Amino acid sequence: MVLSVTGVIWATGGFERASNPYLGAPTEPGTVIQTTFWDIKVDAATLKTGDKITIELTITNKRREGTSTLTDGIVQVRTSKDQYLLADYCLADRLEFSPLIPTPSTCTFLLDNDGTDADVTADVEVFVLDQQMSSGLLIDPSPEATDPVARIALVAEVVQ
Amino acid sequence: MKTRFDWVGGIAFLLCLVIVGLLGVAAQNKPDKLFMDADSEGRVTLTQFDVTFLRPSLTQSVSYEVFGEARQLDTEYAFVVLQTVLTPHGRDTQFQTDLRTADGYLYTEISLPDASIAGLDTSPGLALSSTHVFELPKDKVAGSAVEVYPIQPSGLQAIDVVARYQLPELTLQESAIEVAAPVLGPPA
Repeated sequence: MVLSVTGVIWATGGFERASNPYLGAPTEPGTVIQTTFWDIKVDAATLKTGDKITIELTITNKRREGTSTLTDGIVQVRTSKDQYLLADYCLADRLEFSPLIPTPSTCTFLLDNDGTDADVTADVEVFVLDQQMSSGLLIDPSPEATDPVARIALVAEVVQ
Repeated sequence: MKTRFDWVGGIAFLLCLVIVGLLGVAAQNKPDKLFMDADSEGRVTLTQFDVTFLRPSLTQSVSYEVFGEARQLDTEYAFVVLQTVLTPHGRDTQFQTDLRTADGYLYTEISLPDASIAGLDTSPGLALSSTHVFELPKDKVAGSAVEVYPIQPSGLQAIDVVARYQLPELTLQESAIEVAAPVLGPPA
């Protein structure tokens, strides 16, 4: 009985597994990461001390239609202070992600400007998440971030 | 007490089910767009708007100006560049221009500063000349078509009308193609 209960808790993510969730396969910078709707290459990172972290990406739209919007939450960052950040904004150098065209882009993660993030160091980890199509009543179906597929450890270039 | 089956009511109910089913099938099969192809001179004349497609070309480099400063945009893929002269006749004053490949991929035009009419209001009866740039893989250019349509059709139109221009066979140009800002009247 005790073994059964323990097994169910373990199988549903309890004990050690819950504290170590799957965060994606460790991946080298510059490797193309395949997700459902995008191919993503994490190229580099820049840290402006106490201000923001910028991640340079090359993103290929695998859908059949061009779009100007990247999936919200498609990339996340873990700082050296173990904070998980969502991108504040992502920009493509063409303003459009045309189908099958690798498009250079930057995602910017703003740090707290009250001084609490002044000691964030250049060690960052980028998480790339997969997506599923989500539909709403008032908006067209759009991709929504789901499970992590890859994580990339980077040393950001520090600029003042 | 014996209950008599109401044959008339039963048949009426079945007929209603058949009619509802047929209406559903008809609604699914109804085309949501009507494509009107350009003539041999690139013209499409519609009740809502007229459009003429001009000077299609293929390049890997486009030049344009931002506040008088020359800029150039290059690609290792392909830019399809062409001009349109569009005259709206009614209340449809915002238009979109897309490129659709032979295998169904849809490319929206690249937004170069001051060069796009996407979201730009035009005026009924006044021709607007503009240049459109699409970036796509070279092997998808052949068989592609450019489509122009109102962004928000006015009135209760049963169907959206799309002007379509089949691209001719294009040869890659080595020099940059100039992309001018939209102007009222014929192209320069």
